[in-house]
Amino acid sequence: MSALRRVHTCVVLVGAGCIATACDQLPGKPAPRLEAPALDTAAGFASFYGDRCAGCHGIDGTHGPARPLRDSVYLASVPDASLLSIVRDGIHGTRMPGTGGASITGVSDAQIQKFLTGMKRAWMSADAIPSAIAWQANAAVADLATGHAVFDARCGHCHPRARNAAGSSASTAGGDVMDPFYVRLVSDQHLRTSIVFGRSDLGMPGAAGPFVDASGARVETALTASEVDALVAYIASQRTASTLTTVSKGDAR
Amino acid sequence: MSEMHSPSDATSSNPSTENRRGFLFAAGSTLMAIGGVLVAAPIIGAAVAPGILPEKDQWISLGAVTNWVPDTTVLIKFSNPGGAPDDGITRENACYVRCMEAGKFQVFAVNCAHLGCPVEWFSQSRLFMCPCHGGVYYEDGSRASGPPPRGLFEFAWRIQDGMLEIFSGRLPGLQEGT
Amino acid sequence: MSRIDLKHTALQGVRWLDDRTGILWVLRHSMFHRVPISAKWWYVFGSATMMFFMVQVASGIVLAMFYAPSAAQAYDSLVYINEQVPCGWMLRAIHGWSSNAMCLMMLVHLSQVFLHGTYKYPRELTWLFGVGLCIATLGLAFTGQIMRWDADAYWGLGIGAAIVDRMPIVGNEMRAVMLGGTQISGATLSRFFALHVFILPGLTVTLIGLHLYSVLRKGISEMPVAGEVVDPQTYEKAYEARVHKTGVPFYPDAARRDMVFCGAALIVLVGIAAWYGPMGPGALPDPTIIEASPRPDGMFLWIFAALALLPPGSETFLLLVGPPVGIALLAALPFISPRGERAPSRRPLSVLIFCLIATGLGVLTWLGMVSPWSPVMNAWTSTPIAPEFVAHRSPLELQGALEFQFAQCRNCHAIGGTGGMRGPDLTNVATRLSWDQLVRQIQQGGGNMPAYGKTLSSAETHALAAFLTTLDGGSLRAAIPGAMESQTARDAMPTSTNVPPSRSGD
Ligand code: FES
Repeated sequence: MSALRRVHTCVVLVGAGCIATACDQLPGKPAPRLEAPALDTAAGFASFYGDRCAGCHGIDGTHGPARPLRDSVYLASVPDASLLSIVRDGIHGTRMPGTGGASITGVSDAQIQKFLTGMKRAWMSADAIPSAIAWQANAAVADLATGHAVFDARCGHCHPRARNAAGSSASTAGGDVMDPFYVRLVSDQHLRTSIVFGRSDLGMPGAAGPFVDASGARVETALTASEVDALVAYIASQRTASTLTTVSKGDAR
Repeated sequence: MSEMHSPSDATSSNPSTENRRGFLFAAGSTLMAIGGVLVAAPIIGAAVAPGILPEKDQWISLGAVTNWVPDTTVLIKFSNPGGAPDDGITRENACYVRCMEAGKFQVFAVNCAHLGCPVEWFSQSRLFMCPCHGGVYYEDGSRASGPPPRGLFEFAWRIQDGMLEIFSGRLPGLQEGT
Repeated sequence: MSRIDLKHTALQGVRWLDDRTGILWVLRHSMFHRVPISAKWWYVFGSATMMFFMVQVASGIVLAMFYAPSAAQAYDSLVYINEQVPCGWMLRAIHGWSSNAMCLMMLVHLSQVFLHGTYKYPRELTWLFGVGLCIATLGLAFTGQIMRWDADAYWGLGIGAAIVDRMPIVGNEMRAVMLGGTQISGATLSRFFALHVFILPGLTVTLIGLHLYSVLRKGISEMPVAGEVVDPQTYEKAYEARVHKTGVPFYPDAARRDMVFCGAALIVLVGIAAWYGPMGPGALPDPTIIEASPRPDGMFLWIFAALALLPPGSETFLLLVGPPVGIALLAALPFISPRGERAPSRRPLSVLIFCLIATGLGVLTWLGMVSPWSPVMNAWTSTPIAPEFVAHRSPLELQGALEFQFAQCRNCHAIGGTGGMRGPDLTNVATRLSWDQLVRQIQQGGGNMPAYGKTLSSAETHALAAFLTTLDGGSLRAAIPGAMESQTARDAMPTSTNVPPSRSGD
């Protein structure tokens, strides 16, 4: 009896002692409320990006429907001020919403700047060289004929017109960029950015090439700045060249 | 126990004593009742006063009319006019101001017309969505889908000295019929 | 002093105490009262409920020493308890989990009493006080959630206020009384604090006293035996005779099981509290932070689910009439069915009702946890489209995918299993809807989907439809060139001449 009682007492005392002294070591202790990690740290950047950008720009900065951001050349080519304004205000008329501004939920410029620093730290290699071709157009005169020729020579193989594409193998095709609905929905800047930087995640080269010509042969020569201007103008010209057919499309795949 | 008599048994034969006792009892219970009511009135009154006193809505300024860009809807903060210092952050309140064109507004409460959860505005799809039971409203506040029985609650607004003001103070509810 | 003397003095002391208080009589009729020999493990849940209540009282009193019941400070004081007060977080964890445990034990106890027909003659009052305790306990749990004064508490109050507000005529006034004003504010927290620490605990203690008193007065019921019918004419005599003959004293015979169960339950409670820690406080109770998705505690998830699922037309009626009718039915139970069989095997209707209610509550709670009807508010920016739905898409289709995110379609629709669940999963939508049907659904909405016709341009709709038609689960894409070409002969309407012979028979 007394032995049992001693065991009792021991268990009770040890238990009480453990709870009282070891409270702070138990797994249930709530983590202290830290400030959210700064946006220029890896963790801070990842959580902000994951919450606000990943939906369109892809989980890892690639393979989203929108422009991949894990792209050294792109990040090196676009000046900080432009990136800041894009993130803060969005791009009007496109699917890029702004996160900043004066509204209650707006993110401050300083925070956005930190976020951009975080993004460059994470996704831009230190030795990234800016693209040889300016990321923004400089109001050069559009030359549609050159554009047409360049398109046929460099782009047409992967981007055949849908209506002539009856027998083309779909697996390597990039799809029709001259689709009247598509060109209606995107800005010239979008076309230009896509041509200059490409989409390496989806296998599309940037202005540096290499391309495939109409016969299927590899073309290594990079596009020149004026060729890019002409291409953009040529593709954009489809906006007005073609009238939109009705939305109804009975012959879907 | 057995030798204990009830006091009234012992003296029930005497009518004057009987009367006096009856009077005392009546007086006692009346006094108790009056006293009880007097004490209970402030206690119960204080507890239910908020429900009886008239509710004071007030005109609250949300800022200069020129702040709003036509064809936008923005979330605006304001302080409850009747707030007390110990309300802390719950003194703050919010509403959506939709500017249709310069000088034409709609001001919506953030509270869902279903059961009051905070609806969120999405300028891209021009919808308000409720996180609780999935109520959805169009940009003009009309009900689009889900359990809400009506559109979003609206505050009356006016423009006074170049400021946009709304008439508010109460948590909006179905009873108001706005 | 010798051992004998000590004993003598102690005995004298006891005698003195008994003379002044009558304590021995009380003990004889409570601690040592005879209970049926068949009252075994089924009977421990009531004791456990009461034990958790005592834990609540003890931990609650100490919590009240640190908690600041003011809307401006409550949140900070909870963080302070969690982070600064020695073992403070453990105290909050115990109080929170013990509240859950108390509710759970109460429900098990209630179920057992219902299934065993214990509420029947002559224990109607015991049952009534129990129903009162059930309501008081749930009230304590709800007001306790308000004490946490975070976003869930704030919007939970908002939901409560909106329900009260729906009362005809007096709704607005009742809501003001509930909130202590016209808004959720400091006055509201004070009100609920008074409820949580004075009114409801006082009520609970009183009801526990009455409940226990009526248990002692009419005795603990025996385990039901099929065929042994409760007949008010004979029941009490027979019961007393049986207990007198075969009964055992509550202490220590029956109390042993209570002690084992309660002790084990306490240890489990402390284990859970130590492992999972306290609940919240969650996000700040800031009414201007609208990115909240308020959820009630587990005990009330079923109500939350019911609120989403009630038909809008009859919702107000059901909300206001349902609870009182439910409580009234529960309270009236011993008067509806005061006699007859007690064994569950002979009461199929009761067992059926119990199963239906239990399943209903279980399913609703589960639904409340998943809440598939709630849009995922940030899915459009945070839930990516998996690479397989992006690869090999034409520029137009990619633009459509962008539109899908941009127009918040994702908040309600999943693709590849991620995204909202309010609308159908669209991973295979192209196998269900044709191009025209997709366009119609996008533009006109319907079936609880808002119409996007006014929001999206025709080009945007076109892109969206183009993307959605690629979501065919891989099943429609033609691997063999030409396989999907239209076969005019087969697609034609069957006529008397080209109906296949095998079909003409049926
Ligand atoms: S509270 Fe908004 S849908 Fe229920």
